[in-house]
This record gives sequence, C-alpha cells and structure tokens, in this order.
Amino acid sequence: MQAISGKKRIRRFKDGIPYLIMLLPAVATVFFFNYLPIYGVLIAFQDFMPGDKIFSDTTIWVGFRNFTRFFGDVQFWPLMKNTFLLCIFGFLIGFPLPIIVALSLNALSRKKAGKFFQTIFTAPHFISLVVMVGMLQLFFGRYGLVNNIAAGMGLERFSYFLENSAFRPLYILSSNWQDFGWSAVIYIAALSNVDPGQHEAAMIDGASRFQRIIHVDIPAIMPMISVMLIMSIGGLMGVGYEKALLMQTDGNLAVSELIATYVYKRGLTGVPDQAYATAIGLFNSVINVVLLIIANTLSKRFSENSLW
Amino acid sequence: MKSLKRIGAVVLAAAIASSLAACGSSSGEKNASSQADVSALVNDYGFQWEDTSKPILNEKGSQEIKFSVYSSKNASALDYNDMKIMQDLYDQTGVNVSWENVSESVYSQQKSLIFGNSENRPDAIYHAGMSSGEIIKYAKRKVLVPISDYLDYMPNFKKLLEERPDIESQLINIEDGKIYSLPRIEEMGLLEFPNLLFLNTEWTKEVIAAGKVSGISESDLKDGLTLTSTQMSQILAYFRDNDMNGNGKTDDERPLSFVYNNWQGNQCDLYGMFGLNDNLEHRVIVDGKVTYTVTNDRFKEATNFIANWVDEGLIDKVSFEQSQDNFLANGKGMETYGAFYWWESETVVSNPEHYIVCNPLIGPDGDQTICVSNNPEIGTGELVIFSDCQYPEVLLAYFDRYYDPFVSAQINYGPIGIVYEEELDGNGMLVQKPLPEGVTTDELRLQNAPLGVINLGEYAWNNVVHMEPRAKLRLERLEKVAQPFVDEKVIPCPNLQFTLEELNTLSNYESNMNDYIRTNLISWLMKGGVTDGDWETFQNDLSGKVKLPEIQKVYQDAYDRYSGK
Repeated sequence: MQAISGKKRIRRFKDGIPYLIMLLPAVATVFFFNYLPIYGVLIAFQDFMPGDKIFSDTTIWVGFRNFTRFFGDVQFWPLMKNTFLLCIFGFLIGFPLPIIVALSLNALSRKKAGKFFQTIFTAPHFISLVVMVGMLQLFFGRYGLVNNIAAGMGLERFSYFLENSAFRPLYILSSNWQDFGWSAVIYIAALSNVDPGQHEAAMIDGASRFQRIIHVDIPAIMPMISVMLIMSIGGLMGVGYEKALLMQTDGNLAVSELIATYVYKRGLTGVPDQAYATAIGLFNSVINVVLLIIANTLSKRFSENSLW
Repeated sequence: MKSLKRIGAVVLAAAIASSLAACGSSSGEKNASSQADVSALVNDYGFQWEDTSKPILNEKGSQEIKFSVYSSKNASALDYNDMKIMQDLYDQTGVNVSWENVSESVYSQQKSLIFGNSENRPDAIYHAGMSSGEIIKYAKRKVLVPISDYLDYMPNFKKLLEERPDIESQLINIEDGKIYSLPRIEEMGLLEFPNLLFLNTEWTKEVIAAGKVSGISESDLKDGLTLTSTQMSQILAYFRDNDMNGNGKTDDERPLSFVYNNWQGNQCDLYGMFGLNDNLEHRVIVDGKVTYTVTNDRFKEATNFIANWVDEGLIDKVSFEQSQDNFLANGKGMETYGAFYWWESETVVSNPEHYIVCNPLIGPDGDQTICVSNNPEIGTGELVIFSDCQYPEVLLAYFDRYYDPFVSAQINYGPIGIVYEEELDGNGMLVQKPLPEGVTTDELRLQNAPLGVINLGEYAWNNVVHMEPRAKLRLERLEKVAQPFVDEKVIPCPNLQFTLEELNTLSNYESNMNDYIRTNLISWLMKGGVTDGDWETFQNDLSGKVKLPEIQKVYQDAYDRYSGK
C-alpha cells in the first residue's frame, strides 16, 4: 500500500460519502441483530433462569461449570460423532453434486432444455421442512409407498424411521434432493461468464466436450468453488435442529440426536436449562470458527483464493 | 477520520449503554403486602374472605381491582373472558380477572418468555404446568408468591391441606418449607391404569371354531376373560394368517396393536406377564423402595418374549412408529384390530360391541399382574402467582373459590345453565341438562369448561356431581379387570419434591438415562431380543456411566421424606 497524502484522503472520503450512507442500513442491521445480542452468550457462564438479569448483583456466576458438565456428559461423544458424521457425509455428497449438475446443464447444447431442467431441479428447494418430512413419512413409512412396492415384490417391510442405519441416508439424500438444484444456480451463473472465445479456441484445437469441461469450465469456476468450499467447511458442524427433530423417533435416537437437537431439548423443553444449552451452542460455534479458520488458511496456502 | 472514529465510538457506547440499561433497570422494590395494606383493602374495597358464600370485594361495578391472568387453553375452548363460569364467578366474587389466552401448543415456548419479561409479567399463570424443579428455582429468586403465607385468606384450600397431609407434602418446597403453587385434584382412580387389553370377539369366535386355540370356548368370550400367553399367541397367529375382516386380503389384519411409549395404550402391560410392574419411567415403589424395573433380570426375559411376538408378526410393528392419531384413525372403517391396548375401546374402533376387555395376560411362568403408571391424579404447579402481583391475598381468595366442590365441578365440566340445570336434584347434586342438538358431551365440555384448579374427590362424587357415564364405565371395568391384579406391595410413584442439590443430579443425568433406556429397549423389541452380552453391558452402563443408582437414591430420599420416614 502506498502512502496517501492527508488532502487526498479527505477527498477520497468525501467522494465515498453517498456509498457509505447506502452501506449504513446494512451495517446497522448486522450490528443490532448479529453483534448486539452476542452479550447473551454470557448466560453460558451463569446459573440462569428466564427473568434473571444478565448483569446484576443477583446474577449467579458459575465460570466454566456448564462446559465441564457437557464434556462429562455421557451424550458428549455420541453427539459429536452423530453431528460430525451427518455433516461430513452430507458435505461429501452435497458439495460436488451441484457442481456436476451445473457443468452438465451448461454443457447441454440446447439452452432451452438447460433452463427447463434447472427450473425442475430448483423447485424442491421451496418445499418446507415439515412438508418434506411428511413426504418422507408417506413414502418411507411402514405402510408407505416404498414399503408397499417392496411388499408387492415379496420383500420384507422395513421401518425406515425406526432403524439407525436408515436415518443418515434418508436425511442426507432428501436434503440433497431438495437443494442440489438451488446450490447449482451460483455455479451456473459463474459458468455463463466464461468467455465463448476460449471454448471456440479449444474446439479449433480439437478438444472434445468433456475436455472442454475439464480445461475451460472448471478452471473458470475454480475461485467460486474454493470460496464455497471454505464456507461450507465453516458451516460443517452447524446443522440445524428442525429436520433431525422432525425425523427423530425412539428407534433412531442413537444416531439422530445431534448437538443442535440436544440444545433445543435442553434449552426449550422440559425444565429449561438455558445456560447449559447456551454453553453447548457456544462450544459448537467455537468448533465452526476453528474449522473455518483452518479451511481458509489451507486454501490461502494451496490456491490463490481465500475469504480474507 | 479522527472525528469519524469518535462519532463511531460515541454511537457504539450509546448503543451498548441503552442495551444494558434495558436489562439493568429492574422493577424497583417489591411492595411487600403488610397488615396495613390488608386493612386498606378492607376499608377501600370491602375485602372479605371468611364467608365463602359472599362476594370477596364490593359488588360488581363499584370500585374494582383488576387482575390479569395468563393461561393456555385447548383449541376448542372459548376465550376465558367469554366463558359463562368466569362471568358467574365475577358476579359472585366482585373480583375482575382479565384472561389472556394462548393455545396449548404455544404455551411451553411462551412460558420462558413470560418469566423472562420481568418488567411486565401478568399477575398469575393458570394451567402453568410448573415442575417442582422450576418452582424451586424461581422461588429461590423470589419470582413467585409463597402461597402458604396467605392460607388465612383461603378457607377452602386451608381445609383441604388439613384434611390431606399427603397432598400438602406433594406441594411443599423442601428448601424453605413453603407452598408456591395451587394443585389440580381430580381423584377418580382412573389414571393409574392407562392400558386395558381389548380383544375382537367376532374374530376370536372364528379361531375357536377352527380349533386353533386350546382351553377356551365361545361362552367364555365376555368381559373379564383370562388368557394365557400361549392362548393369546395362538389367537394372534390365526388373526395374522387369515382374512379375518373378509376383504380378500390376509395382510391388513393387525393382530396386537398399541402405541409405543404413549401415555395411554402402551406396551408396559405386556411386562406384567413376567410379574413386572413396568411403566413409562420404569420406576415404581415396591414395598416402600423406589425400584427400576429395567434392573431386574426378568426384564430381559420379558423383553425377549415380547420381541419374539414382534418378530413373528403377532404384534404389529407399526405400533412402534405410529402416533396416537394414526392409531385412532386406523381403528375406524374396515375392522383391522384383533387386539389392542387402550384407555377404552369406544374411542378406538367404530364397533366397540365387537370387543371385550380382558384380564391381564398370564405369562409363561404363571405371572399375572397389571402395571401401574405414575400419572398423578394430583397435578402440582397448576397455578402460580408472581411476586409483582399487588394484591395476592385478593387473587388467592378468588382462586380459593375454585376449590368449592360446586365451582370445581363447573370448572371441570361446564357451568350451570349450559351443562347443568339450575335446580339441584333431591340429593342436592348437579343435574346434567339435555344436550343441545348436534353437539357431543365432549364438545360442549371442552368449549365451556376451562379445567384447571379444582378439587374433585370422593366427597364431590358422592355429594355434588355425578361422574360422567364414560368414567363410570371405565371404573366398572377397572374394578373387574385391573384392581384385583394389582400387586399389593406396588404403588405408583407420587409427585415428589427435591432439594436443589437433588435437582442438579436429576437434570444432569435423568434425561440421558431415559434416552439410553429408550434407545436400547426399542432396538431389542424390534430386532428379536437382547443377548446376554448386551444385557450385561446394559446393566454395567446403567450402574456406571448412566448413573442409575444416583438417580434412584434421589427418588428414594425424596420418597422417604414424602412418606414421613
């Protein structure tokens, strides 16, 4: 960075004022809704009941008791394992899928067909989670479509919702079915920016369609892929509780209890233990931040791309 | 740039200060009600509490005190402000209560918000559903009014506590010896046995005619039939293999159904075949000792036996995944249930006359017992009053009227004038009005009765209100097929009060233990049983990392205090 004289600096700032004003609402929103409430995590270090003041003489501070309690909880390792496995499998399938879909849609010679399929693939994204799980239950319930077909072919009925082994495939495949088209949109947009000249040059050199994907399309969207990679690694342990909770039964509890569902149950149901739930949630967020930093550092080292 | 930084700092500081101010400014000093306040109430508002037949405050319309009470309500109930019983009580007492209703489904989430909003809490929560753990913690923070300090203003409740020390000991907070909530008491003797076994007689007749079951004849098929587990499995196997309902399909018959781990109609009674008094918590009092059925080796035997029934298709596997609504819906229309566990047959199937209620099954070793649930007939934590309430003595004198048996009956079933006639019968009891066209008893009741703070016990059933016909029918059934089979040493676990330390133990371990038991149990039942090795691991885990002995000790100590040992 080169030194700028004071005068120039003021000029530059004055020029930027309209833009800064335009930025202000966004900054204010993020500040008030994302940064200000952070002081609430302090209850992770308290013996807290709803209605207690977060800062007052009566606040009961307990230090790291809620955290040590969680580390000693019999559920600690199962929760970590369940959350991690669900997320990692979801990531392994869910990350490459939209890229492949985007590349193949882009490779279609008829652009109209590409649009058509894109719309079809995007539509499931708009199904709400509750409806989605309801559909799963209709299709995979003991007397649902899949089981009826299996029974018709003389196979045993299988309780998909009661078996530990069926939970992760059902969860991951249905999530990916819902979202692969939607996630592909960003790559499709990136692909549309590829210079047609490059394709023409490759064609003149005798490159096949597949070779053009490998040598033209993929390098073109590589920056986008690495940014998306960093972001999804950062959110790796951040799976939401809603879907797992909806799909949870006594039968699959051993694999369907995630950090997020446990936080929900401890913090909002039964005798609420919000301090404990907050401590667990905070711990989960710390893991996410660490993962994000690792991913970003690695990406910076091995490629030119990084978030910061 | 410097000035910009300064502006930024000022804005930031202001924002933080305002946010802190919002949570820092507490609602000043609580005005503790003293003797002077009460005499002021007596002078200004004509407050009286001794004569329960007269108004508590001045006549309606004169100078009033208004209370706001928060309450959940069921979906079909009217707004409590529009309920006739509430308006009648306003007329009779002169106490103006304005109700704020939310639906039951939202309430559990709202509860924390109400407690959290310390600036603007209502005076009380009705249908509060407070656990003893919540009460003890909020009481320690002085958020709740110690109701026992106001017993002088509550003649009905005071009398109740004097007559029933057992109820008092279910309510008293161990830490400071005070009572913080009003209970709901509805003693019918119905809740202890949530599972009755019903059997399809039409289908069973066919089994007998086909000679596939030994030892019973068609004339035995009446209420109170006793079957051995062998006979039951023969009958269920026939149901499984044949087209019993005559629709041309042999695979839509459901031999034995229930709703796994539901509060009613669950699997627990099957364990009675092995002499275990199981329930959803797997916790009963045997001979004064808090006992967990899952630590008994016979539990393994029973689980394997039941798992075998599941494996053979005698128990419909959908029983483990269906909800109560699915179960009830499947019973209507085409007859598909051979046998099922439920509260009563009338709500399950469209033709209850085809079904008889059976005695508990006799197990392979000759055991026959019925299981007792821990569903309490006394609900503690039904009403709590916030310490912000300005005149708790008036509000408590008002809610004390709810314990008058005639008011209790109307709170629970619906008001005089809608559900009951204005005139009492010859014995001084309430008389049911004929139903209006096109309305069922349940609909009328749910619409007009708030339920909640009541005291309906033996006195009320004998002197004030007749039990509903359905409840009477169930009582008759229980007398025949349940009461004789209760192990006399076994009683359900009552509501218990814990110390803070005990509560910490429970909140650290109990829900994890329940999850641990639940996940293991369902996988054993679904997958053909438990091996000796798995059972040993299970027992080691229970006494080791799951900390069952610690939990058991907490309950034992609490029970010993309750029973006065």
